[in-house]
Amino acid sequence: MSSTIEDEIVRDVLQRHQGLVKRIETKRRGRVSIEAEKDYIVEIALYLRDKRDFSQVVSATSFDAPDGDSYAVVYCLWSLSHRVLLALKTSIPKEIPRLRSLTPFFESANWHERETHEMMGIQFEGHLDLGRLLLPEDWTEGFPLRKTFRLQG
Amino acid sequence: MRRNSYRRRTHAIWHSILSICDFLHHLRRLHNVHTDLCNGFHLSGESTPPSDNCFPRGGGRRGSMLVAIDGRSTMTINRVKCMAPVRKLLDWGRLSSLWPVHIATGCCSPEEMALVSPRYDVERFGVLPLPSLRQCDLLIVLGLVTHKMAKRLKLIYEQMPEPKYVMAVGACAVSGGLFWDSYSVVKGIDKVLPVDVYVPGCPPRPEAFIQGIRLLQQKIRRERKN
Repeated sequence: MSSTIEDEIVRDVLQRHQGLVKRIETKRRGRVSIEAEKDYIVEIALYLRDKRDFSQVVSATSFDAPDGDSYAVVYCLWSLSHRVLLALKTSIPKEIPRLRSLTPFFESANWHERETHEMMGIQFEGHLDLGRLLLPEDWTEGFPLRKTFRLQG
Repeated sequence: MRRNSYRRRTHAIWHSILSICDFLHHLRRLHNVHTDLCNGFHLSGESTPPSDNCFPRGGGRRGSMLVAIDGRSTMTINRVKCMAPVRKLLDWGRLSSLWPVHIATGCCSPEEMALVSPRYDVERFGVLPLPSLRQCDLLIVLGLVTHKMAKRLKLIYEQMPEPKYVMAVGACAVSGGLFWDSYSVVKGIDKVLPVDVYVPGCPPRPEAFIQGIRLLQQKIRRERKN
């Protein structure tokens, strides 16, 4: 049986970024998931963009990780030519929620990162405009999608 | 995408409009006076600066209304006396030609579409939905209103000519509904607008809608007696 494109991607990434990737797997056709340290996200994403044609960030989101002291950030990259959706995951500590932005390299990450910044309070370093996007202009109450945000009810 | 300079400019305009209108809601409803489009009122002329940057709430004769001009000075509008039968006729005309403009932010809007369809045919009560709020006297809010939307909603309300009425339709517009504990939702539009009729339901049936309209008509009929 010939190796699929997903297996090739997994093999390539493991070869090139041996120590950087924490976990990599492909569960089914067209889906790959990579978990990496936060400092290497940009490097891996750039490699995927240039060599494997992952040209589009279709979503970027964040949530409170189950371990309780970090936020998980997930980028979804889509390759038009291979028809593969790749999840690039990382976790950042709650005390210093900072991450290098993908926007200088992927135009499509712009508004996703702005939304993540607004809702979860994650600072994307290198993003040019982290202004208000969805919340009201005079919003001062914090980051509404964090678990620590107190709902009025 | 909106540029920052534009955002600042519009924000300044909102602020100047909205800060005035907060006071005006109260005054209008307190004195129960409308500035009809049909020459029911005339301006008394002199504009007077208020004492301490705040409009007098209890002041003014009954039948007159204070209007803010550029946020600092006020002007008095007096009601012109007209005969009781004529007044009654005018009221009757008003209540039997309620022209609504609707803000459809949620799934209650299909019910409103059903309302104007031949099956329910609300036009027999004189209700004719229009796309222009400058000619309308009823604002129907269908569905959820967020804090961000609330400012725009208020702006829309201020652009309608008096006399104007507001109808809150659906659980979301009445009290926040399903999203009552959300960070972004106004818990009932009566926090920002003076609501005349509430139509609860998720979504309300067109029959409930019609009842709401009938209630509003009764309210308009009784308005001057009180």
